[in-house]
Amino acid sequence: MNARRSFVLSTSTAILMGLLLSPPCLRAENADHGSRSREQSTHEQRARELIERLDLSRLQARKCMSIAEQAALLYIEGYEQEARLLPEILEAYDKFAQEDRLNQGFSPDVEQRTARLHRREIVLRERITEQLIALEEQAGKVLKSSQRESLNNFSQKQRPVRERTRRTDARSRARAARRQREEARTKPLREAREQLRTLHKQIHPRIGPIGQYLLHPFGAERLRDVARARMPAILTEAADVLKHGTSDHPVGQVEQQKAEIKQLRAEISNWNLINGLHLNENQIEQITALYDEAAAPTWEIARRESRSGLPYRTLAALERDVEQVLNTGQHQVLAEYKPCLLPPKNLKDPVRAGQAGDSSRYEKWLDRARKLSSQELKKQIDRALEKEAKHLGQLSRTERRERVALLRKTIRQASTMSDTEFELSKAELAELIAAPDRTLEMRGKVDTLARKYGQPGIITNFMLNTQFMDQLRTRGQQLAGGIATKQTDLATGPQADNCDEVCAIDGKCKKKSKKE
Amino acid sequence: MIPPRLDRREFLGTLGQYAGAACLGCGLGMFAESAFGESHRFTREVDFYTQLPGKKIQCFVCPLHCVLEDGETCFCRTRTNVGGQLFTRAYNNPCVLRVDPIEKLPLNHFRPGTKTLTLGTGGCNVRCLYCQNWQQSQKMPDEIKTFKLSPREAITAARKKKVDTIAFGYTEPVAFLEYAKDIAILAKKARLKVVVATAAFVEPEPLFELSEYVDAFVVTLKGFNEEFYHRVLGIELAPVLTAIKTIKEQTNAWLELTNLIVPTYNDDPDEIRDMVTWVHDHLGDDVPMHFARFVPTYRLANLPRTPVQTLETARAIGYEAGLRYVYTSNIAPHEGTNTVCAACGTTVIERLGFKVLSNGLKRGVCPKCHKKLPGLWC
Ligand SMILES: [Zn+2]
Repeated sequence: MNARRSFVLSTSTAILMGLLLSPPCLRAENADHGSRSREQSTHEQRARELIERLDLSRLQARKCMSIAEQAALLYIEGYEQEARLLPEILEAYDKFAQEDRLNQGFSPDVEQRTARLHRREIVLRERITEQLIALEEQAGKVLKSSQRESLNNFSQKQRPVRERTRRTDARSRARAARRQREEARTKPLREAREQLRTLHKQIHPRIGPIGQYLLHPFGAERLRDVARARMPAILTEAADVLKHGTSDHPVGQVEQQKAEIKQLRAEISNWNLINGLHLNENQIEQITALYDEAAAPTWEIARRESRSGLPYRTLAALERDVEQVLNTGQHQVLAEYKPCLLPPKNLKDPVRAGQAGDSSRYEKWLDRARKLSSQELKKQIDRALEKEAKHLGQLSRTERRERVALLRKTIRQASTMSDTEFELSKAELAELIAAPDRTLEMRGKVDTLARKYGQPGIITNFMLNTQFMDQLRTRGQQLAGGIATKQTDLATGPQADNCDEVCAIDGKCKKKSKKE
Repeated sequence: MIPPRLDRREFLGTLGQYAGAACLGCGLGMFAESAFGESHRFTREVDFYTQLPGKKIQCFVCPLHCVLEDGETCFCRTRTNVGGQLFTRAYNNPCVLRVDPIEKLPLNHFRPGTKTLTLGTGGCNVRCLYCQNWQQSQKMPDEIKTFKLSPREAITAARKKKVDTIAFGYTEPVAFLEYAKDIAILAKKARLKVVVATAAFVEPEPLFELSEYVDAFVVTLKGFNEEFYHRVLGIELAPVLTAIKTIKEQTNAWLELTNLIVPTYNDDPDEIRDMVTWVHDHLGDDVPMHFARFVPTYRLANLPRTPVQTLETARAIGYEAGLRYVYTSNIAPHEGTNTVCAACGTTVIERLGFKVLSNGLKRGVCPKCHKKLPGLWC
């Protein structure tokens, strides 16, 4: 326990949403115990598969076990801290969702609390991921290169292969040929999707199969078998915590809360999009009608099609229909939309008529940078690039060099300007240095290709699902219901200063005193 | 003894006697330097005021008619009595200086898709509880960060930025009327267009004089009842209506109106109906009306945003009253930001917020029915 405590203290107080710590098969939305033990056994099975594939020697297994002990501490810590945070998150997100539903903005305290908890969640996820990835690297060094290579296609989402009788009849052969032709035809799309996935992984690093299975407490028994060693107490404890929870936070309750949070997040993200799209009643009616028409049995066919690797004809056709209902501006919003908890400015708060203070991030950054000494500037640029890489993906060495040159050139230009000149030019300069969002660019490319090959794209991704449609219907009802306007009694509440009292800004009204 | 308030005729008579000429910098720089040590201060005398005994003055730029002792500054925070003469503090020192789409003023029937150099200074003669630029408007020009820019430099800047419109807005141009007018005069000589975005709480004379150099006005008609104007804005409605009528009837400038709908304060459909009916009856059906979404700010930060339904209802009321061009603002994307030909119903300009996505008009003419839409299109 001492070792555990000191490790816990030395690591961050991080926790994270179950999405990260639990193996994928634990990402269940229902929390009944039976399903959890099923998940556990599935997870153990995946661990077994992985260890078999690696064909670990006894020594390797022993080394991995000692790394797994450290991972176990992280898994326990993650569970405990996450469990403590969940009720707070649940409450905050619930309030946030309630306000999001009304589409009238957020009260400052609700918005701030949600932002704070969201931040804590992110910091936690990043820290724990970082530490687990470090352990994963350590374990990677224990493996031989051939063993590491054997993990390349050990997909995390891969399910145990079910034995099936191979059908070799003419129909299935024709089907296979069709699939091959289709795959050859849509190769550019698959490649673009792969690029997008790679970029996504770069921006959101995730634990690989080693961390997920080999070092996971649920894989410990198999590892112990190979190592022919005694099971360390910490691994048993960790497995126990992940299986049953702690006395304060039983696993059923934690899973229940996680499921509710997941549901809320999905709902909030949908509201953010719905609020940003400003669909009118007529559009909502059309879209939901199209969906209803295509749904039910056809839906099943579409899902089967997607699984078979054939084009999702139904979805694609539905998407084309929905596309017609949206206007140009709405298409643009969709093209820039990323699922989110806190809506970005373009969805929540577009620049308003007559609003002065709407300088972009880059304008503010330039204004600071142009006043810095060259040494400070170097740090400032490094920091900016680090931040960009985190949000937009790593640049290649050449890209980085070019970007630094562009930033330096623009800052030099800005620093030779007078304040007045800079004020007039900052928007243009900022536009010059704004980093392109490569995820959006690449997603746009994928969407264009999907369209070309008659496959579903962005609209399907974000809109064509039952939950989104239910929310859309709710919004339709809200719009149809109108707004009850109870007027504020103007005599109460804040009162504007007026010239009944003052002439000069800090003086009495002389016109009044004149009358007296 | 302070003489009784002057009636209009007397007031106009006093102007020639007391007021400084509308020239650029009236040779008082020396005085300003020595007295206050800042070159941009007190270099320009106010055009509309009268001197009263005991070095007092009374300002006649806006309907407040402030009476000031020596050293005091008007309610607008920009005009100061310096030894019995009224000078503006808002000269050569804008705090807002931006190149923006013309749609941001908001103007939808005035050279769509073009850009404007927009200027604003500190100070305002209105006290809106929901001012979105209160950090600038509720301060004296000397209390905030400003940029040095003479009227001549403003013209050069517009040229350099390749814009052919100069606009006054963000804060209240009535508070920096002298600066705006001097820039406008030069702008006209330089063949630039001039736009004024204002709450129009201004006396007709100064407004009329300025309008000579103005191509378009955007007036914020903030509500349609005196109590709202008094308690929430600190001013009166009647002079605003007079000013709007003056613009429409006595000037050649293009006019658009905007109304920011504050939930539970000025969103009563009956009041909105009264307002648009007044617009229709007094200004005609061609004046574009914008209904803008409120976002919680300043002293009304605890209110929610305006529901989209409210804006849509207001828009519908506008059309019902017979207005032909009614818009929604501050929500995007929304069909209410598009321009639809009133004659044939074709969407002729498609916008995303302030960005023009497509413009089918040819010199203001609808491509379908070939009727000209009201406005200034090139
Ligand atoms: Zn037409």
